[in-house]
Amino acid sequence: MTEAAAATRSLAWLPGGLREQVGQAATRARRPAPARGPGAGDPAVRRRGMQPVAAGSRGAPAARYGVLPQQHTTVMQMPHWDQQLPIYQQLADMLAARLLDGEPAEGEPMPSVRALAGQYLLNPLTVTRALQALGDEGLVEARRGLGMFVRPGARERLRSIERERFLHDEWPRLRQRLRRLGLGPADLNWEALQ
Amino acid sequence: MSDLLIEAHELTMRYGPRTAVDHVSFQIPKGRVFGLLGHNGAGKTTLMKALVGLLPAQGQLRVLGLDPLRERVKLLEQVCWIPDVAVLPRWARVSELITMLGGLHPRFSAERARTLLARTDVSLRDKVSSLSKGMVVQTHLALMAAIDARLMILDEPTLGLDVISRKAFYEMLIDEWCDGERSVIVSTHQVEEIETLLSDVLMLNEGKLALAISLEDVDRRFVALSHDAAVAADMEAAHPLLRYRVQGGSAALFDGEPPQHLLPLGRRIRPSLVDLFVALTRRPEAHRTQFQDAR
Repeated sequence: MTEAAAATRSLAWLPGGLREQVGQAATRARRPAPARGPGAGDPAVRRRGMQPVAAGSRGAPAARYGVLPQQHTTVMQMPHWDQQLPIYQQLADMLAARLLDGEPAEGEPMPSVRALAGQYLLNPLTVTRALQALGDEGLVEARRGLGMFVRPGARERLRSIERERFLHDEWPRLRQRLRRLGLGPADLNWEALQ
Repeated sequence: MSDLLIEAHELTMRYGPRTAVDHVSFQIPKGRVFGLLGHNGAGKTTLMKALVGLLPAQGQLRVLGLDPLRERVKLLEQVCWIPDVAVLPRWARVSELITMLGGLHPRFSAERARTLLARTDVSLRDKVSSLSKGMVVQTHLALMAAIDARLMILDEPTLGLDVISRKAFYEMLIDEWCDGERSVIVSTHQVEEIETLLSDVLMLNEGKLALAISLEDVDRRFVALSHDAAVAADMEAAHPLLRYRVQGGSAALFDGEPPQHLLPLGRRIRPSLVDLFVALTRRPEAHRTQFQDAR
């Protein structure tokens, strides 16, 4: 009995000790299914999608694509959504930001509702609404029986939306700030930024 | 059969002199994820026990069109239930549990159980006693989700699990169980974690249903205004349900449209379930002492 108990205890430690590593590997390795867009579960990819374009305009109604809530700073945290926008809208913005990066590429399928729901811990209805919102923007389209696909020209469309928003919303503020600081084009480094 | 998986009308349940569930009425259609929220002792577990026919209740109750108390065996063919005290036999191997369930449950698929478990870190050869708490719960869910049922009832399934295990649990639940037809009812008081998973919420406060609403309607019905400290008195004067702190200031939560004159003073934010929960289920400890452990 004591021997068995000891064996049990030593075994019981194993998963506990492995948990740290498991945690890091879990989202990537355990879930081949939703990783249809390459690196869908990759933290680096997510962070890239999350990069705020202009920190100041967070939550403003016009802040659609690009300006995204700070979340998933670490993969294993429970997803955190901000209180400014409806969650489906926040998800749509995140997916749009990824589309802008070519994930998934045009003509490729979007991750399924269930995969996204599982990945972001969202009710499938919320995910469906987000995909619908992207559909309304002309970025994705449903193919009968196959799910949602990225529409040809989606990136260009997104980019033009983004450009428009930058020129209309961000640039005037930025220009004002540059003026106030007395900075001109010659003072700015145009190359080193990747 | 109708699209309603659960129909409860005026359910009342008592433990001796204490009313644990007090005239509760609600309906659960198919394809939904219901959160049953309440503080300890609010009646969540008691209500769930009635749903699976473990306790009698006054009032009318139909689960999948059946009377849970009288037709329990038939009901459990189509209902998965993980109680808050769920345990798997420690001596058993996971493969043995699969064999056992295959013999016990007519709608259990061993193949599906193995597929689900392949997503986890649990191996079929593992003994339950060698698994971490999170892995045991994950195993339990995999076994239950391998039953082709229409309703899953989960009582505090992730209590005491670390964040990784909790996320893995809900990920599997959403990805592998919810298919638009089946419904889930999950009780918890870790409201913020499952808020986004839910389609509907039932809030119990001392046995009474404080709120039964879809999440979509939450956004329509309740309005939260974040505001500066300077206008706090104005907000307070309008008697909001709750005033609370948010990032960068305060917020006031209103049931319905707030008075017009307040709108320019604040900014609309998404009312969170946690805030609603706090507003509608106050004083968790106030009445508790006199009923200590009536169960």
